Amino acid sequence: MKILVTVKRVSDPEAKLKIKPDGSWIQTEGVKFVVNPFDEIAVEEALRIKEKQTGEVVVVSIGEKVVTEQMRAALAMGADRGIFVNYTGSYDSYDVANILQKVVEQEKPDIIILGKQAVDDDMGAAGFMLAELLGYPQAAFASKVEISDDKKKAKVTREIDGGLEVKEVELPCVITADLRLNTPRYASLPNIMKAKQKPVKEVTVDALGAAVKPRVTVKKLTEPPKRKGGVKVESVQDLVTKLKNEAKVI
Amino acid sequence: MVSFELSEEQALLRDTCRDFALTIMRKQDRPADESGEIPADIIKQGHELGLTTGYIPEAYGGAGGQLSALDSVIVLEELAYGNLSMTVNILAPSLMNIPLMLYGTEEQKKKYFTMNKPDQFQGFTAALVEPSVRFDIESLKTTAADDGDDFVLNGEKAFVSIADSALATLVFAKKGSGEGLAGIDGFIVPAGGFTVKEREKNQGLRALKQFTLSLDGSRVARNEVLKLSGGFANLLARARTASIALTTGVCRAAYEYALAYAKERIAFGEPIASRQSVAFTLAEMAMEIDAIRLMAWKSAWMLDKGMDAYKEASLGKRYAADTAMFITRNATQILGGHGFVREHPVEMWYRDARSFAVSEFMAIV
Repeated sequence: MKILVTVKRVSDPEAKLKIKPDGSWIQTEGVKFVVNPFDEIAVEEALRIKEKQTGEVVVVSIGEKVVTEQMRAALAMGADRGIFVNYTGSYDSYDVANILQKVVEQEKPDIIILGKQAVDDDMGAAGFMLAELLGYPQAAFASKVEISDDKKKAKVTREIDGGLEVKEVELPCVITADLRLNTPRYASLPNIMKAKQKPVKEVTVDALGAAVKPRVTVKKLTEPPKRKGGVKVESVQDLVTKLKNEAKVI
Repeated sequence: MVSFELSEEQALLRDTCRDFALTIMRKQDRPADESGEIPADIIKQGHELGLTTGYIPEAYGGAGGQLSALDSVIVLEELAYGNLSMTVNILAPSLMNIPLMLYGTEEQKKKYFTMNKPDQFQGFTAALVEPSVRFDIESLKTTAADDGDDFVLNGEKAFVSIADSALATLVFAKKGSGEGLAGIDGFIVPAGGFTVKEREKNQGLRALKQFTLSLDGSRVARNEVLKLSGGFANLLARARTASIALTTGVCRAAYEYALAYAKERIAFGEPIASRQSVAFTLAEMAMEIDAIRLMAWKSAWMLDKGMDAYKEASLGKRYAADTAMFITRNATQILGGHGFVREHPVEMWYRDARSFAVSEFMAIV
């Protein structure tokens, strides 16, 4: 069973980000970058499926050369090989889906697992778009994945408002990983040291034959308005009046 | 070429160990210190990270990771940043594995490396320090007398980590001939080959089980002798380099905690960090941490180059031990009364840091 997993390089969710003076993007100097936490969950799930079924886990990353750092982290967790799509221009979720579609057509994986969203822009769109482009069934926001004995179907539990939904999808399919799907393992020290020896194939967007035409462009980033200090009220009556008239919450 | 740039792998090692230190070790550090017990699960998870056997060649059933002294120094700083007792406990098997890798016979490697099994990963430790008021590492009191097919060991050892549960202990002793460090060899003694006396009651490292051992005519077969051929000084350099790295980790933990506290604690209308006496102290602590880290890195770099790092490691260990007292004392001082109460971890780091001045062979790179 071949499983393709996406790995996106994102700024550390713990890091305090600053916006560039011209508002074009965040300041990246001195910022730590990590594997998108939802992608880490996706890698873990792929490894668990592989450990049960045997097969191969292939990770794919798109971007500048630095994204291979995060790809190495996934390889150190246990993925078998990587595909690095070298692209330096700007792109949106639909472009990502287009590029991934071409990778899928070459690799022909049985399952494609993505994080449900990246924690930097929180778009959460590429997974859906990829499934649509491929014409594959999809199960988004997975909290449990079970592969049938004949390896032809996946039973996916999804967390929805007020309960759980269980879907059965035929393979090949697209799954996106939610927070409670699993707890990713630590890469072991020997695997970290060996990750460098694992093959990473570098390809370009042109070689893949993917069209990158961003439909969404980032115009400007601004910081959220600074929170104003609270006020002290004299009485309960004051409080209720303010909650009613100013905050309009009751 | 000298470089301070970490490779991708080294950065990943550092981040992985730091994450383990913060999310696994720190969560249990205080209960472990209070109860004197490290949860078995933490030791197991440390093993699963490949900390104890990851570097053993595949030919002997290991994972075959190439771990340089510099890699180890990076790992040790991060783990000690989490918790010193847990780090020393998790890494105890390396105290025998690494000497075996460097000096062991093919037969010994085969026999002992394959004993590092998933269910027996806490198999080994080493015994060096002796409970003597005039302990001098160059003239060990523990002796190994040549008696035909065997050597006969006599003496006492102190501060031996996990001696109660280890399958085998590497005991350092003086053979009849040979002067100073060059006369010291290792002797592999199986469990039951010595008397494990009562657990040490230490000021710090309270979660770590350490024992005094009594070797009273323990017999060690000739093929169980780890012939160091003068290599003991190299092992000591490796252990002292490890000690500097561990010290850096504990110091960084105390410094970061004190820094965060000083920025939040308001006295006389402003955070105490904005008072020069506190700010200068914190700056000095930061300088010293950088200094000892450089000492650990230099010493490790020399070891990786195959150079004799005995002097650098020894000077560094001594300097780091003093620095550890300076930094952890100041960290408790910056916390004021809060530094004295056990709700904050700095008093624990202060007690743990005291071990660096009196310990030897606590870990190895």
